[in-house]
Amino acid sequence: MFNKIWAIVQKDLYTTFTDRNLVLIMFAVPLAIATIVGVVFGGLGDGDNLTLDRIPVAIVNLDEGYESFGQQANLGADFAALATGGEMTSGTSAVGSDTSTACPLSDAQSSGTSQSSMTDILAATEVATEAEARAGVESGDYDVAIVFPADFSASLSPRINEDEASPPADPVAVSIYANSAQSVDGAIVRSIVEGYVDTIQTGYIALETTINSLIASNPVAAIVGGNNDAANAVIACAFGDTLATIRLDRQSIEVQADDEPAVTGGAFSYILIQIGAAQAMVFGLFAAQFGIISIVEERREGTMQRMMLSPTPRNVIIGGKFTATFFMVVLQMSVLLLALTVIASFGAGTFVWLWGSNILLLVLLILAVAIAICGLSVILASIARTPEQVGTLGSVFNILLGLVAGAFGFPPILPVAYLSLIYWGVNGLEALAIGSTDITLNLLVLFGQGIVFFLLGTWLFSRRVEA
Amino acid sequence: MAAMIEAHGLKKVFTTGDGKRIEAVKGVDLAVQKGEIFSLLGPNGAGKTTTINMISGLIEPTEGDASIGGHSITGEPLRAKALLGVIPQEIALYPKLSARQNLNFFGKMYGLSGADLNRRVDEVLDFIDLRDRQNDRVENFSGGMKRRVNIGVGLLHRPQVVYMDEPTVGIDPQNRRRVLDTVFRLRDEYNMTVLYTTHLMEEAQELSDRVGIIDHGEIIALGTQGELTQQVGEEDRLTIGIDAVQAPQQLLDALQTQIEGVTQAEFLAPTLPEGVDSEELERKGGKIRVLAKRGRKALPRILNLIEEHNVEVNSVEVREPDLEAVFLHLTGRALRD
Ligand SMILES: Nc1ncnc2c1ncn2[C@@H]1O[C@H](COP(=O)(O)OP(=O)(O)O)[C@@H](O)[C@H]1O
Ligand SMILES: [Mg+2]
Repeated sequence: MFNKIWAIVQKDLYTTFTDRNLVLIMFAVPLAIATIVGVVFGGLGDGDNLTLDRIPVAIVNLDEGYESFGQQANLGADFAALATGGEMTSGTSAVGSDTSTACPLSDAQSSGTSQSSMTDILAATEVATEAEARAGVESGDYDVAIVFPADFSASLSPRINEDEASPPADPVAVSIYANSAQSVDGAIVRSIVEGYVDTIQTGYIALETTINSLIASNPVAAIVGGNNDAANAVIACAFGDTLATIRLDRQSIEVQADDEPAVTGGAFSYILIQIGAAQAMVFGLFAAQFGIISIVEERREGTMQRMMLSPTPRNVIIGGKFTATFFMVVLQMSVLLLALTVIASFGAGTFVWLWGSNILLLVLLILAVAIAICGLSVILASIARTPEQVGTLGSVFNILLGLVAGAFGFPPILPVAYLSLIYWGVNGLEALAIGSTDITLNLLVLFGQGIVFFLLGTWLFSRRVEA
Repeated sequence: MAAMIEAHGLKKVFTTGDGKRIEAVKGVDLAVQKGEIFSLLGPNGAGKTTTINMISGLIEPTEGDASIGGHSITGEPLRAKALLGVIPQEIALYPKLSARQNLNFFGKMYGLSGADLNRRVDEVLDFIDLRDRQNDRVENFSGGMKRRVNIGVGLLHRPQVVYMDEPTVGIDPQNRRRVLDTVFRLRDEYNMTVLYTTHLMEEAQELSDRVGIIDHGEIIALGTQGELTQQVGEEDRLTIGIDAVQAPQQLLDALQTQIEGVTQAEFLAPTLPEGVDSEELERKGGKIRVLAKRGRKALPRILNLIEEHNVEVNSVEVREPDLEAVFLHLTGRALRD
């Protein structure tokens, strides 16, 4: 039985790879798209690295500080000092290196000798009042304004001797204002603040940050996904470490000879992860579509019937066809993820691995996505009768799945997005990219979807009128 | 001994998309003995392919069952299929694969592998005389060569029973000759049982030990050629081309009543492809078809009678009783109509 399945898989892979058009569509096109993305968003191209000017930031520190066990601290002032390059006032040593999340870019950290500080990213100015800061953002003097509230330090202070029954403190609200034309900057700054708070945070204190967009509508924001938590997490990772050590490693921040700071690997890799994860899903779906087309074509050409004439159970034949499809989907996604890594490496000038350090989970995630996709394609194959129908129906499926999952720049449509394998796949990839290993739910949902789709699809298949 | 191929009460009803029922096969019984070449002869749409598809396990009969070598095709499909080689009507090959790769792949589907598979593929390539082109892609082959590969695939596993569904459609006379010779070789050299379908009387006549004539989903006659032609008696069939587009009814009546031995006389209107003008039609003229015992002898008198009715004769064709005549006799239609 496995010999026959393998024979079908071999034959299908062989025919795919000897079909120049198919190879072009399946591998050259996604690579081209990834490269174009690379060129458009910088990093690749005319030799200049993507240069992000330092982000002009207004800091309003209303923090009144706190005192506990005879130690004084003003965390808001500390942040302002770090950002402006001034002296730290408080003796806070909590800004430790305990947030050692495995970031996509941190692997190469040890090789970097030249490091730079937060001042390389931010051009921060302390401003006295919130109103003044907002006005500055509105007028374009600053891209972003950060307002630390009066109880900022207090709410972050350790609560040791408190009554257990006392209710948790209200979340502390650090307000971040960003001109929506600069929402990427807003997201970066927000991540920095979050990273900062994470680093010093003890206990269960919740933090709430808000980005108030002062001007609406901005295409860049859509592409980068300003509303997307995962996106921000990626930024948080790229910059969070920086805060922990108050340094950025060489791969994230490159100091050019003229001392003009420029960001390469970080933002660029982040964009590639964002766009690439969704692209991997979409092209995985397209690869499956070719698999289904080949089933429909074999039926039309009579080779499917010919297989059925041999003493081979129907399930083995269908199994063989879908195993072949599965291989193609896995291959397609892997090639794309690898290609993006290569492009990120070109952009950074050194090897950059985008998809996290947990290769086992990455492989599992790709397999899970491929299984869900193949399950879906069984359904498609049971409905469609001609290659044209596969194309049309398949595209409708793919666009719907991508649309609800937020793969086209809009935020995901919840809770419908939870039905979309693209959502779970992208979400999982992004989680892995920022070093998280918590993708159990993603794997379960994807494997589960695969099984349900497969059962539903085979049921539909068997109900189909023969020949 | 039980027959190699047996079918009992095979029926197939198709339901089309708009809910119409098509009775493609209406109860076929067959028994083909080991080493026999059996032809299923019938016009297009008679139900030949549907019958083949049912007795090869490709589609499920609405009613009835068939067995191959004693194994029911519905009950023990894998055992039955292992004995069976099917050569489908349409060429069913992978155009992007070479002849050898096609044979290799389908060989594996029949459970062959390794050295055994290689040997069989070599054998088949010799048999279909394509060894020198074995590594060329099938898409670059001529129609006849594709046909040969199509046949070869069905023979790889040395089946005991071979179905060939109109294997000569659309190929040149030379390749057609080759196919017919192949059928004899399968029986004579490999002792295979062959079920052959065709709409061509000559092929059935040349090849078959026995013939089943199928029309509108039913076998309307079955037996050796001798047995079948006896059914029509000694009637010869005369086809007389005339230069008129219509023959007077009195002429047809006169032919049947005045000339001894004539059992049937009818006018066949000229048929031309659509879009041809009526002038062309007139030039072609129609035909009078006459069935007559000892037709050759009656021919002079028939021609005289036609001339008496002021109809000019262009051509005359006389055929002795054959399967075509049997079909005509049973259905009133020509096989090719
Ligand atoms: N899948 C099908 N659905 C509906 N009608 C069919 C189908 N296959 C064959 N038929 C009809 O059944 C009849 C017999 O067809 P077929 O067996 O192909 O005839 P033959 O092979 O003798 O030319 C025809 O009228 C054909 O239109
Ligand atoms: Mg047919």
